[in-house]
Amino acid sequence: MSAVHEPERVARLARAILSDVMLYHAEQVRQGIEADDLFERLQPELEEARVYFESRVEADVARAVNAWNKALVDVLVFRSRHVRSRIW
Amino acid sequence: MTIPDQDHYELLELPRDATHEEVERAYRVARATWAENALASYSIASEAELGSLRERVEQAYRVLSDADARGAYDAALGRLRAPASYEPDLGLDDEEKDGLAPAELPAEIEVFEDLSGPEDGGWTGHALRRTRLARGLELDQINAITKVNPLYLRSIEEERFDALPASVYVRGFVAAYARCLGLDAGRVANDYLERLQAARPDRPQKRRR
Repeated sequence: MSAVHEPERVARLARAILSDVMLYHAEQVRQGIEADDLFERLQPELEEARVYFESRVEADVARAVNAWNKALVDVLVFRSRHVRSRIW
Repeated sequence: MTIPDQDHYELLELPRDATHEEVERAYRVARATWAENALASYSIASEAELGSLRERVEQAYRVLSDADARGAYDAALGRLRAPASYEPDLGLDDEEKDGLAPAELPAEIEVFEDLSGPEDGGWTGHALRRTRLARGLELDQINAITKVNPLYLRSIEEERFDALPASVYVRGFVAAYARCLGLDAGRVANDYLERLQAARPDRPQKRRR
């Protein structure tokens, strides 16, 4: 299995994986946004997701484009913008 | 914003065989989403439209949470149209359906050389999900292309067979999903249906009138 190295595909993979975290843990994500403890609350799930992501991509490319962190914000946080929270 | 032709299930984003708990949950989510002070509602609808939407959510809940009312509603719905997301009956048998040329995929859906193959024993829901992720696709994107209800797509991946409709529809859903991933739709559907039928004796087919 060859690692994904094109930046666009690396970013897409990160978004797809985190989109699944959101889909399968919707209530926890909502509570995490609401209480502003998203990353602590979802620590095991996000760690598992990150390990899977890193197993699939070229580490240098992922680091260079900051794909994982961008996807965390784009997917988990931005898509939860309708949730009432002190974050915003 | 208008919601034309949505039935109660579509409004609450529920499958037709949703349990009472699922109805309750969907109602709570819909009510919170469209609440007067919800941020989600500000930019996409006028106050009048939101009021109408809230009324429709309440009405949908009243019907779907009451067994008698729901039974009557289902019967009426069945007379009006086929269930949402179901493939139209083209009079084709399963083999003919699988033989249909796949729809042209959007440019962003590539057929990757690295196909995450099935597990031993053939294609499972888990293998489909793994392959989808390997292609960087979100479930919503699969839904946008296939038009299969996302709740069904998720049930397919999780192999929640009881939440899925009759096999003939599941075959169509799985084949559409597989095509979307650039897989052999017939093979994937056959593998999946074997698992489904082993786990769930199928419901009796209704006779065509």
